[in-house]
Amino acid sequence: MRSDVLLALLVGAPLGLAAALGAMGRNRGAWAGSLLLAAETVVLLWLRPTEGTIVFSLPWIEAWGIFLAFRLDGLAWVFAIVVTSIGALVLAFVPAHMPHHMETHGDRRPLRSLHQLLLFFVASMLGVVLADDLLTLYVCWELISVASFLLIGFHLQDPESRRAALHSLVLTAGTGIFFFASLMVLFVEGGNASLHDLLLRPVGWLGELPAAPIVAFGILLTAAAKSVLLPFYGWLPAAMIAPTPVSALLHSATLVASGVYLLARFHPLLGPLPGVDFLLLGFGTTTALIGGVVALLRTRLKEVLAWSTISYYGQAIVLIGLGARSAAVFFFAFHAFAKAGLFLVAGAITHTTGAEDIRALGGLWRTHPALALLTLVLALGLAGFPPTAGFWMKELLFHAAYGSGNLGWIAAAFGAAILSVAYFARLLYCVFLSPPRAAYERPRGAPLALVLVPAALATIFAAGGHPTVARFVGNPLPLDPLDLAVPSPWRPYTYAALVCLPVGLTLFLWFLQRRPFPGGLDDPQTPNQVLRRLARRVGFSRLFEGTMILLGWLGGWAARLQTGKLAHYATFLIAVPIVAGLVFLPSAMPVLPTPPPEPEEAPLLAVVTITLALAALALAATLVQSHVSAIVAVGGVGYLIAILFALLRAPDIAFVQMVVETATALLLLAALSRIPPALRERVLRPEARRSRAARAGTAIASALLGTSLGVALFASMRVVSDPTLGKAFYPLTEETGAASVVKTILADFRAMDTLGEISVFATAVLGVVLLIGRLREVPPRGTARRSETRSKES
Amino acid sequence: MPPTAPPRPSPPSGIFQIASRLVFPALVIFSAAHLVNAELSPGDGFSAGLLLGLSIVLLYVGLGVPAVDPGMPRLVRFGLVWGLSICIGLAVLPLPFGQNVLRTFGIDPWGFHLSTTLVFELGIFLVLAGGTLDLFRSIGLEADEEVP
Repeated sequence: MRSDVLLALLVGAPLGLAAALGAMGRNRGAWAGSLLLAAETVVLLWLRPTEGTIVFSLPWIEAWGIFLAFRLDGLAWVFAIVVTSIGALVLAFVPAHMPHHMETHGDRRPLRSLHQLLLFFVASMLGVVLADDLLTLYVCWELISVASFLLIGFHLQDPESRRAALHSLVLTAGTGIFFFASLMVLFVEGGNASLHDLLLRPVGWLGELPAAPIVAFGILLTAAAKSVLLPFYGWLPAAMIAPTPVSALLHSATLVASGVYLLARFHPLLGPLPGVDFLLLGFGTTTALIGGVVALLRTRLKEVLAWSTISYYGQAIVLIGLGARSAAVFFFAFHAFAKAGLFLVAGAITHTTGAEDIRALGGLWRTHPALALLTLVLALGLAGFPPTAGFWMKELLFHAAYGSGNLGWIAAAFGAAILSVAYFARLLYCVFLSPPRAAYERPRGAPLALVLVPAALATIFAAGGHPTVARFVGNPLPLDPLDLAVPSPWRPYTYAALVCLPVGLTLFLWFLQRRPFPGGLDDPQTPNQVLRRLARRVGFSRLFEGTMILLGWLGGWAARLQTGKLAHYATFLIAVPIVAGLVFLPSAMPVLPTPPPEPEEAPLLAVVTITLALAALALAATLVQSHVSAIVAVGGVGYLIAILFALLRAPDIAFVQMVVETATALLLLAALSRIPPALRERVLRPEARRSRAARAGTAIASALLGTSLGVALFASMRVVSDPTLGKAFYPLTEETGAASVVKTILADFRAMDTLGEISVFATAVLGVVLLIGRLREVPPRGTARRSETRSKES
Repeated sequence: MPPTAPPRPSPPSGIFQIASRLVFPALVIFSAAHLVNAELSPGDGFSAGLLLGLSIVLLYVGLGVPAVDPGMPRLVRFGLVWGLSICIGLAVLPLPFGQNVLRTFGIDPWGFHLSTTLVFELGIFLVLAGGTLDLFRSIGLEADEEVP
């Protein structure tokens, strides 16, 4: 198979499978998703771009140069393979874990919908990382928001869950609007929708445009919201209410990673702009430190992991801000494996013990040695212990921070690294080493599948410590001059990474001594008031609540606009386009290239088909036994004729035909409703009263009339009019300044006809109104209301 | 003779109300665009006015007669009277300048094309919108009133 088709299949196959699962039985096909994604991982391994890239492109809106386009380059490959491999493993975790989980939540829905949603999500994420076209990128980007909304709110009956889903949607999709604006500006200013082309231009072309800040603002904002940077991170801990596999997929490798992907992808474009890197670094370091501190204080297992994810994504964005894109990609990839593993281990722990709070857990290393070992590898590795990939993550962070020469960033890197050692040590201690707290719900070892899946992730993560694997995953194509420096381990940064370990352990021991089992933020016993207040202040859902209040206010305002008064609507409708037109039109008009001229000949097959359908409908109109059906059939004939006009390149006539036909059908229906049913019945069935001969006479007369009309029309078509006649209007057109000859003919030659026609029309309308009997009195100005109420009283 | 006393048994359903409110502005803007486009691309006052009339009929159906009808007779007459007046006025306008009846003029300021044709089309538009509405009101509302 051609490799570009294969590329499109990578995105299309999960979507197709999600649709196919819908057609299967309740719990069939539980393994299909996992197998498909595993196969996609293998395909990606095979497609690994070492020298060139693979491009798939399908015309979408060709006139504007918009394509459904995917491109597999180094950056896309790393993200894609992480997404598919973690997706495969998480989907394999679902059948082992979810039935029990659903049972405890009292949810009886089939698991199929979860499989479908996860596949839909993976497909849209793959779409984002592979997209090579601005519109493709944006569409997939918003599909991610939709899919994550559905996944986070998976427990539909739980209000908390719905609220968390809304929280993430408001922040991630709400900022998507700005992303769209950015992409539109890029499209218009860059004159091209191809991402590849826009990014490959000489560095700094964007900086010369006046609209550059808009582009930067939109992309940074939407990436910050998805990647849980400082003001937006509230949605991630709230989203922990979702089932564990959802958390593992969304919050390690995909949803949150999409922001990092976007920044890594657009950094060559945005990096040269002044202030962008500083913003990334400032917000990244602050987020990394706040996430670390809060992770040290939270007590629910998944929330600790959530805050550590926030901290780690802050660090990844710091790496991008420092210009170390390939380091950031490496950082993302192995963090994703480790964090997905940790989430799944947390799920397995809750699965077997029924407890979620780390204060209620303890001593699990005796009962769950396998889980303990996995957590040891994953958590300590992520904290930076060699020889896992986590060590290289820390090493690269220090490398990049030193390279910047800025003391602030170096200090922040140290802070984040030390905090991560402390909170992972606390996690390990509280869950596995401390004395057991209580009798657990099911005090036995975890089911095999619940161990095997995180074990696979831990293996990948540990293997990443080996330079060969690290380079294979992290470096398929050199992204920028800062190549992965794995081969020369003993650099100063290596020692810096090592120094953090004892310091972090010391911090944890101090923490342990002060408060052996910290109550966490919600516990009034928490001694450290300052820390508590800080954590509450920096936290949680202020932004969301504020946004919701703002939205509610806007909604109320919008509802007040709906006064129900035509005059108000008319004012808005006329004023807004005029203002917008005056502001935007002069600059916007030349932007869109005009579509190429369309082929002249009408499609014969369509014309013939429609003509046949037309004849059938016309026949039906004479045969049906109900007035309403007859009117509908006649209306259908009119619409088909309109379509014929449109096909024959007469859109103006088609439009008139359409509107007139609608009006006629409606008027007929209205008139019909005025006729008493008994009378209607009599008209409909004339057979009872009329003789056969009379009916035959009517039929013959109708047929004659119709035929002669048709012959006359056909004959008039044969009359060839003098082609020079139209030319006479050329000089007149120039004289009057009309835009086209046709318009001149209509406006100057036919204007008297038109004037006559509308006079006749107006007279006819007045005639009908008078005939029907009540020419309503127009009440004097300002008394309409009063007469209205009077009539109600009487 | 009682003025409009619409005895609707119940207002239309919420979905219908929202749908007609959503569609109505789009129809109005489309019809306005159709009117303005008359000069260059397919579009004219005739079908635009018809469309506007139909879109207000949609409002009648969607929001219920009591919500839309007050003030409507005045609007309808306004359309008919002013539309005809504009057209006839424009027809005789060129006469004092020694031109033929109905002669049109056009200018191109700031790259836009403006022409008296547009004003003529506006008149047609008003007549059509008002006339359509009047027809529907006189036929449709009477029928409504017959509902017990």
